[in-house]
Amino acid sequence: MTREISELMDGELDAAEAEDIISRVKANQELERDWSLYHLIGDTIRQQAFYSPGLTAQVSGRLAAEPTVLAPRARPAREKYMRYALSAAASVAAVAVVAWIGIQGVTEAPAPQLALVQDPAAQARPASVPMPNRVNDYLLAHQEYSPSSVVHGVVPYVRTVSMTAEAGGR
Amino acid sequence: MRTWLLAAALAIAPVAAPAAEPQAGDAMGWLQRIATAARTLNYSGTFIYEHGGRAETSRIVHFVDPGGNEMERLESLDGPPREVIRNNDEVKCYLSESRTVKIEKRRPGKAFPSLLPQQLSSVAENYTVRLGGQERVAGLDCQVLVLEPRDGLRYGHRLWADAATGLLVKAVMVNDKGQPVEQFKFTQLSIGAPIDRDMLKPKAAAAGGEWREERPSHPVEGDSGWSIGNQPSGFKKVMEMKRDLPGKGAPVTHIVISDGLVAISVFIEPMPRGDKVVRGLSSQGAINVVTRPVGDHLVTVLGEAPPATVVQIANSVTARAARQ
Repeated sequence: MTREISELMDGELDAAEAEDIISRVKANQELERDWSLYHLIGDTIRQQAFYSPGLTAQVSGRLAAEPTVLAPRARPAREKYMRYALSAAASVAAVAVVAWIGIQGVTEAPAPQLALVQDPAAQARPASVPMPNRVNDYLLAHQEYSPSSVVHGVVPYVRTVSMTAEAGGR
Repeated sequence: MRTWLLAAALAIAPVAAPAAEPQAGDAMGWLQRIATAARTLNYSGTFIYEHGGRAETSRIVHFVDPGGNEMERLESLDGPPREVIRNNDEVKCYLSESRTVKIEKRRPGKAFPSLLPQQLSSVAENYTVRLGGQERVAGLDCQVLVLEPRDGLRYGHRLWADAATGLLVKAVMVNDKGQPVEQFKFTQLSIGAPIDRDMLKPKAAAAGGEWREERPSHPVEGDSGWSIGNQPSGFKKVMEMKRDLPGKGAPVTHIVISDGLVAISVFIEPMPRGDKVVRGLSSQGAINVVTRPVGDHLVTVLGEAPPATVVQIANSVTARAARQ
């Protein structure tokens, strides 16, 4: 199976084979992990790093909206085109997966979902991850050099004092 | 003759403006106006800071005397009492729980009451700036200003400025999905009313008792021997320095990069001994922080930018071979 995944990544499979592999990968968490891992390895070898939280969801959404890619018709004339399209979709998905790993790799807590509470659905999201105490002085030093202090005056400093309250064990 | 020239210039000006963003000039003018208003007007009010489902209320007083001296006081109304007092270039944070005063001096000459031209052109490069409609906030008719990022490396901004004075009444930062990550909003604001000097004095200090002062050393600008290999596009280095910070045993390198509207700071310190260092990503509102070890140093990157941008920088901080 690893060989097939590798071939899929390299765009070496025809549409029907690819479709089969993709549906098997999708159905099996372990294969999905392999898929992610291979891309991570590939990108590491090529010394590329992609980071974009939320891209996974975007790409999944886009793939879902493109049934032609995952359910190609068996028209020989289109086959080559389909393979390219599939290959492209696979690499976009790979970028997304690696992006997600990239974020997870440095995140101890779950990647923060940042949202102000505006509706009950939003309330279900985890709040911002509290900052470590030692970051306080850094934030104060940072604030001095941020253009936002020019636009907002002293207002952004509320972040500094706000954080201290959290760090103080409240 | 001169009048005629002026009239001709005025007649030509609208035609000469770029067709793609007809409002951009106006919008940039508003941004400049907001920055100037924040520094030159007397005002007092109450605002709410919302982030990650939390809301905190604070009171602010801003006063400029006839000599141009700027004084400002911010007081938290929720939770433990905290105050920020600004006197021209100096900022003092009174944290009453730990009875600590953190003192920070603004970069000399930074208190220029507006955005510098290069900052504005940098903003225009990185954001589509346009005027929104008119909306009413805190009882004031406000002009809405929309700054949409040209890429995913930065947050979007929506600003509500008092139509009469340009003072910022509400500011929201949004992520790539259009969800707000942080919001400042005045609920009450009086502009131009007389300010009692007593309103600018720190309450905490007046209450007496011992206060521990934390004052960092003056920064020494120059090459730190560190570089950011993969600097996000649109961000330029605005400052590189070394300084002593409270609680850090050795001088800390501080590099600041900015896209004109927000900034990201990179701090590099020798690996602290003893205490367990928290690594990884954390956040508060629009501020994202990532900490990771690089050799025998600890790198902390923080700024008003999406997690991915901050992580990208943290992952590319390296010591240049010449020095290390």
